[in-house]
Amino acid sequence: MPFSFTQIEQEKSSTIHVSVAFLLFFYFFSALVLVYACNAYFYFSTSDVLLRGSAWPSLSWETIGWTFLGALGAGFVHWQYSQNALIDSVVQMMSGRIADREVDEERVFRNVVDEAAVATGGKYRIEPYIIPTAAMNAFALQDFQGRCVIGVTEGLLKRLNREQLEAVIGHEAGHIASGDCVETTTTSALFKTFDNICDISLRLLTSSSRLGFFGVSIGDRDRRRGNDGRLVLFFLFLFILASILRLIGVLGAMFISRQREYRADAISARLTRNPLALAEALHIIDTRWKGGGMPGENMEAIFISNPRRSALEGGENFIADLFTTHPPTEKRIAVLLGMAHAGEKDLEAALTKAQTRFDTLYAKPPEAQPQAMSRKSGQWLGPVTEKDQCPRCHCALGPELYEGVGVLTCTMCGGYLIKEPDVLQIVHTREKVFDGRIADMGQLIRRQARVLQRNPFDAVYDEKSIVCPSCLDDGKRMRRRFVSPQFPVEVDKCPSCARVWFDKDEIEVLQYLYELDHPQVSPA
Amino acid sequence: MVTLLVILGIVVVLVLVVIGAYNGLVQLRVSVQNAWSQIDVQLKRRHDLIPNLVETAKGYMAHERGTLESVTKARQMAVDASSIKDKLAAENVLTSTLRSLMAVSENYPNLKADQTMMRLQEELTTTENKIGFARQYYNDEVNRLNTAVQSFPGNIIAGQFGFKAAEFFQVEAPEDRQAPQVKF
Repeated sequence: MPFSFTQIEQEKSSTIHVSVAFLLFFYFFSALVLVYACNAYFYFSTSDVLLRGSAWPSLSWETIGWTFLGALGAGFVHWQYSQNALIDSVVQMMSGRIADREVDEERVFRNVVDEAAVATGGKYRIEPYIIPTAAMNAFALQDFQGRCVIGVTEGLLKRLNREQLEAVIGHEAGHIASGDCVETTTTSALFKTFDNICDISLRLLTSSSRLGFFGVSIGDRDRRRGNDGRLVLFFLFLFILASILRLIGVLGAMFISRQREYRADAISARLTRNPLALAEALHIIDTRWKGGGMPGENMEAIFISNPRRSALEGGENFIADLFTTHPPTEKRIAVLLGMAHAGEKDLEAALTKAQTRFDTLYAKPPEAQPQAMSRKSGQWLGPVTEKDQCPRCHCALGPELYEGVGVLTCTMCGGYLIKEPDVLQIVHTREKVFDGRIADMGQLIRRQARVLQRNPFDAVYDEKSIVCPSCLDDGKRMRRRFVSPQFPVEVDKCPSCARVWFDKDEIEVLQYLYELDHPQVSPA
Repeated sequence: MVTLLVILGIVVVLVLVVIGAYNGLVQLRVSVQNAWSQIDVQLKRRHDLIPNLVETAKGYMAHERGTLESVTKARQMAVDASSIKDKLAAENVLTSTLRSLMAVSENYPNLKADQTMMRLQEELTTTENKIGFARQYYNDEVNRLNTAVQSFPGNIIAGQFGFKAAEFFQVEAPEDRQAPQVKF
């Protein structure tokens, strides 16, 4: 086993020192360049050639010293700015709120967070926060004053059971207890400042160049416009600087090691004594929408699973290690399964992606296994065929009439496979009575539709998508997407046969949303 | 003169080592006490929950009078216990009676569906978990203290100043919190 508990916990990192030192160096260097450029500018603009000693000006040690102090000052201001009310601003950005004691699920969440606080010996007081979105993710924050926050999304609370939630919170508490949460939070905040500067300077740049100056001219040629030009030049400089830094902010992921996720997983497993629950939770989170496109997605390092889908993340090589914050989920699950003795010794090498999924799902409820071969009525379906298997549970899908439309359904996970034209028909028929849970989820999705910045599924074709149970074409997998921007219910759609896979409750939520928008289409 | 200085230096170093070790032991002892008080808080919480639980369960499972009474009795014993040793024993009894109560309640679907019962059960679950976590932490701290007290040179200083090894909070049934095994 490459990752035992102790090994992982022994690894300590000094990310924060490295990034602060790096930023200081960067400030110093860029200030030096700036000072030198100014010097050279005044030097060459002096008309008296005789006054020039050498061809190029040089900097005195005194100037360099002052520049260093200036860089130090800038670094200090930057630090103060980024750390000021850090947690509040992050939570506010994601429109989080404190978990409500009166709501059943949220009370459970509060309890679980309290348990985690007890497990750390009562050293930390952890505030439980809820992010109102149907996406699935969890995060931890900690600032230098020792204030701790663990947040989960509503979608996560609704879809995980207590054990899985305990495992997820254990992971987040592990980040806090091992001290890398402070580092992640502050480092992310440090680099995030450049995002803001970049946006502001870009806005200033466009507005000042709109004043009538587009060319770049320095010197005597155009004194009247020269001031304007210098202003633009200044903003341009700021913008370029901030852009470089923003790029570095992306590379800021470099400072945030993937190892810490393994470590937090291990701590969670040690706390809850239940690595399997965490493996299940990770699997569920990973196959769902993790919050890409929502505000806060650029603080990817604080989440349990990267909200952005990145092609690099699946990789195991040096580059992937350098530029991503999270290890591949399959690897994490394999490690956890290994801790549960849920496989052979060389499990992580032997298990392919599909097998890992299979194992995690089958390890869950033992009484559910006989069902895999039969339908609800107990009717034997024979050996599982390749075709028409549930893409999630790998058991046979059974035919069912859903509001008069023939669909395929999985009795284990409650998902539906529906042809696209039939979806419309189901949506148009109104005969369903929705229970409170569906209505809650629908309201949630409606609310989040307003804050969604872009469609999170556009960007990358995802290797993690499921294979269409009908086409069985491994090359053309189903694509994860929203039904439409107006109805941001996430489904998987097959590009070749236009069948749509709805996970449990998703078709009901879609119907609910549609009927919310079209109250009086048909009296039915 | 030189020998005097060397001897003086050795004495100073020795005194510093003793002071350091003594302070370390004090710190460990305080953290063990602190960890125990954490457990105590949770145990008290459990004691407070049980009367409500029994009261709610009574309405649904009149036939299980024996189980309910044993829970009440075990609780009373745990509340009355004063020394840490007695407490540990009484709490272990209470844990097992509670577990059998929960097992019996599985046979009463009405009870399980009761809103108050569901809330109480969640409260009991979280309290049990907290006791478990607090116990883990307490045992870790006890482990640190005992190691320090028994290893050299801590054992000499501990003997001189009356530091004693603390007692672990052991669970009766070792299969209590074991990772689930998956069979293939």
